Amino acid sequence: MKSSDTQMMNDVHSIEEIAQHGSINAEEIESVLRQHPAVQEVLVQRRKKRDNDTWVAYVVRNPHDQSGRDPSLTDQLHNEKVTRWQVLFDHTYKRSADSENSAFDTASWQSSYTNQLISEDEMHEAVDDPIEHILALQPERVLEIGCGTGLLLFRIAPQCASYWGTDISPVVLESLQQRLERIDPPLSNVKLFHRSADDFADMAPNSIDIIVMNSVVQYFPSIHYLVQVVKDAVKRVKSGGAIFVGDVRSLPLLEAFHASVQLHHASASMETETLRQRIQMQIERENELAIDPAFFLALKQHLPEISHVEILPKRGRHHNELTKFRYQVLLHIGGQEVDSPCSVTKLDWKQEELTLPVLRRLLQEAEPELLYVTNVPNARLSVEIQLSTLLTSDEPPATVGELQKELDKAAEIGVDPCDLWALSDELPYRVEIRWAYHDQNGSYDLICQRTSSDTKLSHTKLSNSHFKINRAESSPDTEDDLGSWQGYASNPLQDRLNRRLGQQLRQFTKERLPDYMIPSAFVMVDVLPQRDL
Amino acid sequence: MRESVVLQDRIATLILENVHMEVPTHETDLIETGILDSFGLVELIYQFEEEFGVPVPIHEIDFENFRSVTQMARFIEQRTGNSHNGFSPNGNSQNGYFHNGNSQ
Repeated sequence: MKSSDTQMMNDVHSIEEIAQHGSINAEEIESVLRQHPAVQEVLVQRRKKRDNDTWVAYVVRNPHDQSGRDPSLTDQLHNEKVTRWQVLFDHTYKRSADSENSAFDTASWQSSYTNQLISEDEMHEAVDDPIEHILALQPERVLEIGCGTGLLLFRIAPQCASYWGTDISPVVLESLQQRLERIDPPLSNVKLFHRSADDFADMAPNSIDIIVMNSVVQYFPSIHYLVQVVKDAVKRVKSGGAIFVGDVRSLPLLEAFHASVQLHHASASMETETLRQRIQMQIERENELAIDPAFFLALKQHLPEISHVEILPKRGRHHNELTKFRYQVLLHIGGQEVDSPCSVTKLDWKQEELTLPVLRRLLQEAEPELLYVTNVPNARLSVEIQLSTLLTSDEPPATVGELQKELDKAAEIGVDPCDLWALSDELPYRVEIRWAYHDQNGSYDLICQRTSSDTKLSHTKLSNSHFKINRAESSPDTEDDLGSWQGYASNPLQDRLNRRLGQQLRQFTKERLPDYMIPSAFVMVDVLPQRDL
Repeated sequence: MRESVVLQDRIATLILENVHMEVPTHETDLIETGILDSFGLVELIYQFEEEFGVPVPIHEIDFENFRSVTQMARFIEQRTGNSHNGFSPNGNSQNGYFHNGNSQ
């Protein structure tokens, strides 16, 4: 008998059995699954698949279950995750290597909305900003972890004595090496290494001015991996140097990001409730590392080499996923934080109901030496904030089409950071926007420092404590206190943990139930779906 | 043809487990609709190896032609040679999708 025929008979057999056993099955399967220590809640639903009905088990994990969580497993999961990314990057770069020869290869920079490459115009803007930050520090020796196609390398390397680039993708390094050999004048100060981000072998202590990780840490397998990398990195950086972490995906803005992408993909006829569920699912299964900016402030408490932390939005006129949902971090190593001696005028944008013209007049007429404005609403996120309000309202529009209509007619709220930075062109003020304390609304803090009175002040690094910000910053007490760091980030290993648990539960049910009652799918969720009646 | 359908159902089940979403149809473009992103696709390809016991060399896959359940099923069928023994679960597969899996 052919295998397909046997299979078909098995299926037919099972349908009869399911019919015979009727309604009791789902509850019976649930009661078996509840016996597993990793299961907190469970719901089993019948899943209609043509003539072959099966079961789906929705499982809420028991957060306190520690079974199967040993360090070797974590290492294995880390390695698996890093390998997957390497495979994906190799694949992506292989396709671009054959076609692209320029020093501006944006392969792997795909839009989450269209899956097409982000436009070259937007990409130029996206790399100009980190390059400016890095060159402003006039580094001699640069190490770039995850140099990719060399978007930063080709611009920074000509300005410094040595530039080391590392990447996990051998494919991209090979094509980058070929490009380097073709350029004239040659960049003989560049050295490339194939290695993972946590490998600092042969890199001497206090030997590097700047370590750059631009658009890299989101592919790290966990926040603990990042802590380890930064810990090793700070030892290599000279006093007075810095670590630049660019394109960090914001944890507070993760929901706004997924809402925005899912809205883009949704059809007008989709029910708003379905959209809401999809957003929730995307957050739960986020496979990249999204980080709360407070993490970097906590890291400063943990690593005394870090003297000062700057958390900044990206510059750029374009409103895209890079400028809206990502931030960049400068960890200054060694040296002293200098607090400006001048007086600070503090305002809350929302409380004072400020506007851009009012702010301009204030600077012109009151001429404060140092103005610090908190809670400035962020125009880049105007749509997302309104989307979130609509989705959480008591009576949201019924369909995505109606939701979109509401959004289209809503007026833009907030101030574009570019309009604030531009103030420094017309007024004697240095303007800085800080994003260290942003929440789900993505509001930022503004610092305007008068430059004419004392030019020395314009280069002063103003510490966060200078503004006496009463926000708690704490870091885990011990290095092994991994659970505490976890609160600052998404968990990219969750999908792997879920999959392992799914396999365990399948085996568990196999040992306790007849074949036709073994769920075909085990879906890990944060909240159980409604039971179908 | 029957085997194709069963294989497609199994791929759809894997996607359900991974992304918590039922694929609307087996022809749905999973990338276009935002059900899968490129990392999700790589993850799924690794799972094909585990589930169907066939090596799937990722560098040979053109992601442009690997965007629906039917396209994926066709690729796996080609990998397994013909549809006779097809994608029968390999010995160490832990899946229990199809009862005793004893189709040899």
